[in-house]
Amino acid sequence: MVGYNLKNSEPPISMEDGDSRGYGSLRTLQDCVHCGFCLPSCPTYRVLGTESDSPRGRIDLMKAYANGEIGISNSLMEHISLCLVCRNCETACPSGVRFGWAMDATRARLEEEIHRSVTDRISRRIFFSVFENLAVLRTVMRLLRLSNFLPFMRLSRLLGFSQFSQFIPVTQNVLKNSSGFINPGGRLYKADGNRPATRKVGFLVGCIMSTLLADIDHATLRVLNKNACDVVLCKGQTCCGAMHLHEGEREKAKTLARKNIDAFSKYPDIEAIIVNSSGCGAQMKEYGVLLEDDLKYHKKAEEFSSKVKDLSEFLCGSQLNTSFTSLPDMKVTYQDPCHLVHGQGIRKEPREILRQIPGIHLQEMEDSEQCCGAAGIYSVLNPGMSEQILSSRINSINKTGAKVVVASNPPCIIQYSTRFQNTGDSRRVMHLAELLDQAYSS
Amino acid sequence: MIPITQSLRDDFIRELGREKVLHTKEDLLPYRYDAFALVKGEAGLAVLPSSTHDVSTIVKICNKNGIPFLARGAGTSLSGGSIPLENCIVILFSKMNRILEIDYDNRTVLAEAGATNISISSAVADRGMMYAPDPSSQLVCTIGGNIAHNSGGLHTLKYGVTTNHILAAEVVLHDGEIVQIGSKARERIGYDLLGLVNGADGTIAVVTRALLKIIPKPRNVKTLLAEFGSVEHAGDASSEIISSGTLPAAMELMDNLVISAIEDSIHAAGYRKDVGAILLVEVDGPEDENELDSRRVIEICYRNHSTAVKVAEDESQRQRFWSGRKGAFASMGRLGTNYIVQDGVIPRSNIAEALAKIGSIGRQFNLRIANVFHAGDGNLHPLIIFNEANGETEKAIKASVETIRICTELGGSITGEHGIGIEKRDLMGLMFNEKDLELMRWVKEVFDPNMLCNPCKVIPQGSRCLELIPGLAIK
Ligand code: SF4
Ligand code: SF4
Repeated sequence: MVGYNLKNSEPPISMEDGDSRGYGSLRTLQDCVHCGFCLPSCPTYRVLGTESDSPRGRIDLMKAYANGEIGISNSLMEHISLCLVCRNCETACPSGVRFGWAMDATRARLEEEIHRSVTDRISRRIFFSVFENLAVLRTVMRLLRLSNFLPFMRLSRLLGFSQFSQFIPVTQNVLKNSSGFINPGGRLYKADGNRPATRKVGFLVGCIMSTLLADIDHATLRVLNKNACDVVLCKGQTCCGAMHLHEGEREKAKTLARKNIDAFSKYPDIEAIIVNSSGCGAQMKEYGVLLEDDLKYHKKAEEFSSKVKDLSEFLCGSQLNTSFTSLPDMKVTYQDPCHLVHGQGIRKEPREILRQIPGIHLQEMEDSEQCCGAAGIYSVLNPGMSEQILSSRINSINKTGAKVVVASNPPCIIQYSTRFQNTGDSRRVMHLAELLDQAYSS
Repeated sequence: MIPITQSLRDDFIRELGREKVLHTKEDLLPYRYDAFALVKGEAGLAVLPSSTHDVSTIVKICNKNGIPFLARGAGTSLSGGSIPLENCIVILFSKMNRILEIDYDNRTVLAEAGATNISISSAVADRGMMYAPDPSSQLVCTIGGNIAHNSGGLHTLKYGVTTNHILAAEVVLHDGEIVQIGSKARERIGYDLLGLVNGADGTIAVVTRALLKIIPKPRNVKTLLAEFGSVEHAGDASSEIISSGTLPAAMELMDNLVISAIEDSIHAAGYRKDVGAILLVEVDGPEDENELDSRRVIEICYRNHSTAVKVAEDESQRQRFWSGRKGAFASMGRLGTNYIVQDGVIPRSNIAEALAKIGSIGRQFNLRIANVFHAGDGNLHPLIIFNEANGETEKAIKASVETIRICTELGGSITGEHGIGIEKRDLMGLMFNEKDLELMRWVKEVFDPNMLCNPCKVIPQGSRCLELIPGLAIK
């Protein structure tokens, strides 16, 4: 009820340069009335039961840090980094606190002040830079595919990257089965001949989606073409920057946002920007928030964001092409990706589409809106907590008897497929686009 | 105040294990609050027991060292009941949230104190049963906290409060002894000790388990939304509904200011903003009786100048009718930056008079006061809107005290369901004289001779616990 005073810690904000430390995003903390309604929604609170690992507790810590009441400490860093930024607490909050914005801004400020070792800094820089240029990323992925990945493991260990090296075997495994990478060089994918092309849309190919999970991108393109869309892979696009933002690399995230805004604005005739990865979609719908103090880009960012549509949102909003050839009977369950349901408020659309595919039986699982523990690169940074969270999801899925888990976000897909692979589980995780693609072509 | 020394912390770690003892500044900081935000406390240490035995161990260490302690569920108290004062040890119940036994034959559920209110109803829902008390925070709040505040909810009118739905409790006494109060037998024999634990804000003993009654869920429910030109008409209608012999399951009244705030917020429920008041009435029971009741309510509303009465056609519309009411407090942000929610009770025949007086308090202090209340049992929730940044806090607290004074002058009470906690402690004098309070102190001393159990709550204690809220103490 009685709000905090965040003013004390505010430096003069230069509107010209943009507010790099995200003070605007911290203001939402003042809306918290301590009601505690968010507690049961929080995956880490469910596991640990401690207030500092709950949304309300983290809000208090963020305020205290912003006010200078507490400084950086191991304990603070632990509570902050244990947050998945799943934003489930936002859905639960009756006061409209935008927790995710505040957490992103807090991490950016911590990142500026925290002391990291030299190897740590270098390895972080390398890791994040790889994603800043899709051509570089494709090269790295290609090397990964060719090499026996051992040199990579060694190299990354050498760099103090032991945590990140866990990604490599997983990556390798997924890559083996993946078809050609997608290069967004401005190419146009024409709508399927059978239906008149009525719409032209842009497509964000995505960093992970266009390489590691390129099959899904290919499927998405085919699905859009089947739905009377000319799809253009706008040239100059890059990674959406969500990972950078959530890990405290706010400036880099802004640079990526500006690049994407510039790239897509060269195609004024596209009516929507389609995204098939929820994390990217949520990020791109909030470019306006990220660039709120950037006078040059703010308005452009809002325009850009208003065009961004999740694949399911777009297909549901237009007339879905339902000339399916029936799939073999299949029981599926649906995992709500956090940044689709809590970040974008989309829960009905994917289910509506699933129900229209003949042969598919949707069996809802308990707590489908709970995070699977992947949360970007969280599973690598906090493997213990991630595992515990995932296990409770697996329990819910077990009760449904479903053979396929539908989850339309790269980290969720990797998280589930790794678990299924490691435990010799024959169940599969699929993207909505893959199911649709199969239903159109089978 | 006894400082928490390293050796004391080691005692806890030795007895409980390292992972059950929280001690860093950052671990403890957020325990300074619950949902009552006017006062900040400070936790000396927080401990995470996983069994009654753990709780007993903790209390024994505290008792031996003269360290005060406090049980905390989800920290949703609106009166500061779970804010740690005197640097006390906070006993967390988040890991003691299991349902231990469901006995359909005797219609009881045995649960640990940290189980959420909703988890009881969910556990028995597939058999068409429910746990009746339903505070607005029911998804979060715990059974232990419900017992501490003797919580009710929207359906209190027909179904009663916590004390009506509890058969027994396992508690840890001030010296760590574990005792059982009550049993599956429905009669309470001898002194009502269970009644004493209920509503004591956790100042008598630490509740670790509770045996709760479950009841069949009503099969037929009708929800009506009646619009009125003025609050007075709505108030009259609610009085007449009660005196007509109909007992609604719930009856809520909202004034125009609340309605506008709701409709401007994310909780918008499609209420008409140009009406003076809305009365939400829910009736349940066997089908024919249900039909009769709802017809009678509609008739009474129109007789009292209702401009329109809508009946929820299906479950989703019913949910929509309620969603606005449930989001009422949270919508207050639309009216100002800060608010105080009061909780007073008046005899329900005085609703119109009380509202008029509250209106004049608002004018006197130049503050906006919105009103939402449980009309059926005269439980008022005036919401005093203010702006802390303009230095209005003290004025707002004074105004809120005046609204409570009105309640007691009309023969009512200083709290309906939020408890005394810190918030109302210094207002006890409005209802009780020094003799009454002395008697309460005796009772407290019998159970807690060293005054360690949730210190400085409920009873004004004189010099030991200083005035916590500026401007609150009554002169
Ligand atoms: S974002 Fe997720 S993990 Fe973080 S506090 Fe909110 S609910 Fe918890
Ligand atoms: S639900 Fe919202 S207002 Fe309530 S404690 Fe959580 S963040 Fe704060």
